Amino acid sequence: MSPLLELRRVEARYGPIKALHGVSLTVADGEIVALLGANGAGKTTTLRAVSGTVRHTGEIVFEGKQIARGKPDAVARAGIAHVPEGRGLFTQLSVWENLRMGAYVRGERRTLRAEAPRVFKYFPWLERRRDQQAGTLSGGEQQMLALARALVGRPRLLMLDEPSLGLAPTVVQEIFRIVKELNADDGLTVLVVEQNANVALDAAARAYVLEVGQVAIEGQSAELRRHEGVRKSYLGY
Amino acid sequence: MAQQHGQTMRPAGLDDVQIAVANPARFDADEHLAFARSVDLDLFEAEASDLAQDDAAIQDWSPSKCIRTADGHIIPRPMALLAIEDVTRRFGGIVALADVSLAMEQGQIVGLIGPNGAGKTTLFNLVTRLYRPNDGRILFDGKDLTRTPAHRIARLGIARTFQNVVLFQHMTVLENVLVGAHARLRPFSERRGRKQAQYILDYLELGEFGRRLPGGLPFGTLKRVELARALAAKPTLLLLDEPAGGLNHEEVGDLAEVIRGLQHDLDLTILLVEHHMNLVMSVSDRVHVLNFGRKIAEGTPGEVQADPAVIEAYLGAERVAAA
Repeated sequence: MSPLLELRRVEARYGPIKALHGVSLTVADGEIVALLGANGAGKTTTLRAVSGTVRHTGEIVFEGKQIARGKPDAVARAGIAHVPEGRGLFTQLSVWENLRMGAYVRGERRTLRAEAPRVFKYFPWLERRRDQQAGTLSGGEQQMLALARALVGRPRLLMLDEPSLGLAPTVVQEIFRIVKELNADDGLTVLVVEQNANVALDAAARAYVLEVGQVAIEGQSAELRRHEGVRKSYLGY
Repeated sequence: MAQQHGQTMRPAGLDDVQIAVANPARFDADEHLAFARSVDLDLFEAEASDLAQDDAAIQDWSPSKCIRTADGHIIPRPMALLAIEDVTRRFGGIVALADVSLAMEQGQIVGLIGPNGAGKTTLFNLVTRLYRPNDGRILFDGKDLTRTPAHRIARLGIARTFQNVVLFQHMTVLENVLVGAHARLRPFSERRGRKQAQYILDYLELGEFGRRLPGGLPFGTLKRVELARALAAKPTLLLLDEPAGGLNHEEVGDLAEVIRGLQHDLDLTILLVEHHMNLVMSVSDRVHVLNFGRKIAEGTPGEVQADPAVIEAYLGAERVAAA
């Protein structure tokens, strides 16, 4: 079976600085895949290349088709939702308005009617606080709203960039519990960049480790947990 | 009054300035003067006739152990460099901090943890005077900060980093750090400022990024640039808001070394907000825990980690199972 997402020798740069030196990876339908790596290894850039927010060379194939280069809107419509590092909420807008922005890619009113109840099932408090300004939510709530906003667009592939950033341990556990539930209940495919390697490897079946813009290690999560380099750099035991 | 304290005073002047500085070794003579002008104008305004003359006695006073008050008296440095006393801050109907007290001694690293929304960043914003407390007071070096405007905070010796990285996007990394130096270089010298900024960048192993713009740099690197900018302001008290963001386990270990180095080499007092428990527990001398704007625990890292209320509110059961 062909993978849902495949990257072949993807390169990307910021001005003169090359961030990706030929990244190749696959994500199968229904999988949770973790992307680990040091600060500056290219994890965020990999997600940005997929969502079209940085230019890339090489091939990125989604559902058997090359994704449109440099057209984030087309990528979003194709069914890829990107929850960026730092959440990228519209902080001046309300909770509900942020959700509307997520539904926009698929025709706002109809999508919201259909998808909002499904999303509220995972985040019941969002419904009660739909009129609250997003910027006044706590860090954990903001991360959950960013996740909910991605979900109302009913993506086939969800890309999460460091969802644990700035969150208390209990909230990190909660977020990954929800991600696992979405994967189990709805078969949502997830590619997650995460520095909290313990929690990421716990949720993901497979993982890639990036080093200096290339895949250095890949394998089943259980294998990586036994890998000496991974343990030293990412797990700390 | 001086006699009551059993200490001596003398007219304010160039070499008095070191009294106000935590670690005079870090400053050259020019900077002593510049520092005095910027930090402690009161020093020069003090009436010379009110001050005693015994220079010799002063030599015994280690600058880190005594301070000069606004009226020219030299007194022992109060126990706490930073004393937050019964501080309350409300936003509309929401009580972000309720009667919170926290004291930090000179040279301590204090960890501040708690769930999201517990009030940790609010506390930073109160100390740096972005907010004013509704109640209570905040003493820095014995001086009440409540009436100090935010723009004077850096010159008093308090510097901070921000949770979500607040850098000037259209300035290079070096220029961003130079902004920190601006706060303390009097009279300002562009050349000396750049030299200092570059020195700090090299010290934090950021030298190669000096000419780059922040955009496109990885998050973990940006957090370190913010640290460089804070250090350029030559603080005695450094507030770090989640410095481990974007770093993997090994890099967090390196950061712990850097933070201990700041404490050890620069005699910095550091208040650390962080969710990375390995970092907090390995570098902190004491840890305070906030939940819903109230302090629920305080103690050594070991005491706090074993506290059932902290496990319940913050660490979660998995952590306990793993430990």
